[in-house]
Amino acid sequence: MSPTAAGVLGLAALFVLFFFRMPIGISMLLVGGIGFASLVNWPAASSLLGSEAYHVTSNYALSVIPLFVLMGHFATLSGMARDFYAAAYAWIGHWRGGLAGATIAACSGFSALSGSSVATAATIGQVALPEMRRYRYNNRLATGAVAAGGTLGILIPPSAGMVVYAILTEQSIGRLFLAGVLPGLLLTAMFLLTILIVCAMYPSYGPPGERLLRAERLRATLRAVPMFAIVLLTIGGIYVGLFTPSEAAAVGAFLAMLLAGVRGALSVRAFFKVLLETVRTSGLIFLILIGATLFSQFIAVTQIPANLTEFLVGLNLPKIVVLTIILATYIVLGMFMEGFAMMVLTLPVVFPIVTALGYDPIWFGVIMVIVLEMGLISPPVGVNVFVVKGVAGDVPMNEIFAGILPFWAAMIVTIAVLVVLPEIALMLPNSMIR
Amino acid sequence: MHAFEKALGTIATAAGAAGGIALVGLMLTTVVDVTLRSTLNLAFLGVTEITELGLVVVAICGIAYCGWTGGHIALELGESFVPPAIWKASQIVMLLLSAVAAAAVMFYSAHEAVAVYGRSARTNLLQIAEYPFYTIVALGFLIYTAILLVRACSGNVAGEPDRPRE
Repeated sequence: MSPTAAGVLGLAALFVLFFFRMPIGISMLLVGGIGFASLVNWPAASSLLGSEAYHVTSNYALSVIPLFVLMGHFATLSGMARDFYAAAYAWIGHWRGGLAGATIAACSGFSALSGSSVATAATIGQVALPEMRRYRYNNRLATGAVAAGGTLGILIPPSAGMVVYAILTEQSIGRLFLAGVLPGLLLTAMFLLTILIVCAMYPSYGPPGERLLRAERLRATLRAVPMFAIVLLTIGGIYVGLFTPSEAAAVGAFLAMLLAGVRGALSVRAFFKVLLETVRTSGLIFLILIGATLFSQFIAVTQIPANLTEFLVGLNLPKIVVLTIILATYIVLGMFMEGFAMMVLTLPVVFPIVTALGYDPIWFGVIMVIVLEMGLISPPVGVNVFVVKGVAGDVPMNEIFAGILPFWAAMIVTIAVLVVLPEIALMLPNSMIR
Repeated sequence: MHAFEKALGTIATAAGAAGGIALVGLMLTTVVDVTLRSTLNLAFLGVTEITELGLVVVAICGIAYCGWTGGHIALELGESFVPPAIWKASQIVMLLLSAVAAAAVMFYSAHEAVAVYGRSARTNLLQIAEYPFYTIVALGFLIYTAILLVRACSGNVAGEPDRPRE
């Protein structure tokens, strides 16, 4: 059997294991190990099995994952999500659709403390959804705003998705984080614009909230200052070269822990709960990374990436057509596959093609993360939708998906803007102080 | 079986707690390093090595604990297309196959630990022996393998523990 045929067989086997609900990391480990052994030899495969778990888990750059997850948990514990929402509400809550806008703004702010979309949607959703329902917001707009806003969690740094992309493609985590900032703000603006358009078309969807006095606005903003300070220190510290991403994560987690302590939210029980949750999340990411490393080694020896790249380049199609095909495939795949799975499964094949076409790998990382975000809110398996459903149990799923559609369109527009103007993503990483 | 599963749950949760404590250690070490560097211009030698080795503890304990809580990501694709009886049987097969894969990592990591011990491999700066950390990898995957096997034997294909996790 040729290496390419073995690779295709391996991919098919992987899909079968996914179909039967084997954990993604273990599926890749199994197929990668057996595939590598069959194409190279068993001693080489056993050497990989014995050393890769250690090598992956002792990679200094990856310490950013548990530390940023820890920061997100402490941030949640200290009530920062509530403060972000209150600050945003104070300024725009009295506009038509203002509570949905405040939800998006709060998601955007909280995303800078949490690298997880699900955590962002769940945390902000618990605060924002009851408020929007109290003001008789249309269920579609309310749930759509929370589900879509939550996706900002993996675009605005810190982002677990970007760390995984960086490791799989050997890019700088710091540069990727910075590349996510402006597109994250652009997407936030697009979501806000979407709310304005929806409320202009259907004024009853987003009645205005209560207008707060100036003193109340200032008080709400002041309460959110510590969070803004942590965000500025961590992301700004990476930008000016004060910290590595891992150091920024450690300092951010420490400050968030202090804040939770000062606010009296950090009991011993809560502290250990946060630690266990963080370790659990880290464990699931690391198992996928170990599996993905082995699987990538297998895919590399099958020569599928090289052959596919050669084939696509040989077609002489305009590179924008190839990119569109890749992105369309990702959008469809995102409807059925979990984001990490999609990324670790496809990147060994797709990344060489994208770079061979001359696209910037950092820019593609940002595009990739936005496509993953779309998967998070796409039917039938959009995880964020289920999170929102968990908070607003009486809203039918079809209502939630209908509410998401305008935001989904906003994401498509954002991708188009980034394709036309890649500088939006590349400006900050290209100007960072090394 | 129930007593063994209970003991396994205690071990996995203890592993999770150990990983959490290691993570706090990583965080504090890094904060001290950054503070010393930015205020007194002092270097905390070997902080990178400490972080790398600490991360092994965090990640591997996390894999074991996540396995116990049924948290490892799997896709929910097939259940609605396959008859329930066949689905349940297939899940037991998947658990056993997963256990084989985890056991392979455990076995070869243990093998590597012995080889690393034989070579007296140490970190460059702090000269910390590496074999204990390969052993931690083997132990973590041993716990995960045991969890998968117990689930397969007890027919708990959902991958969730029967009692409160913490």
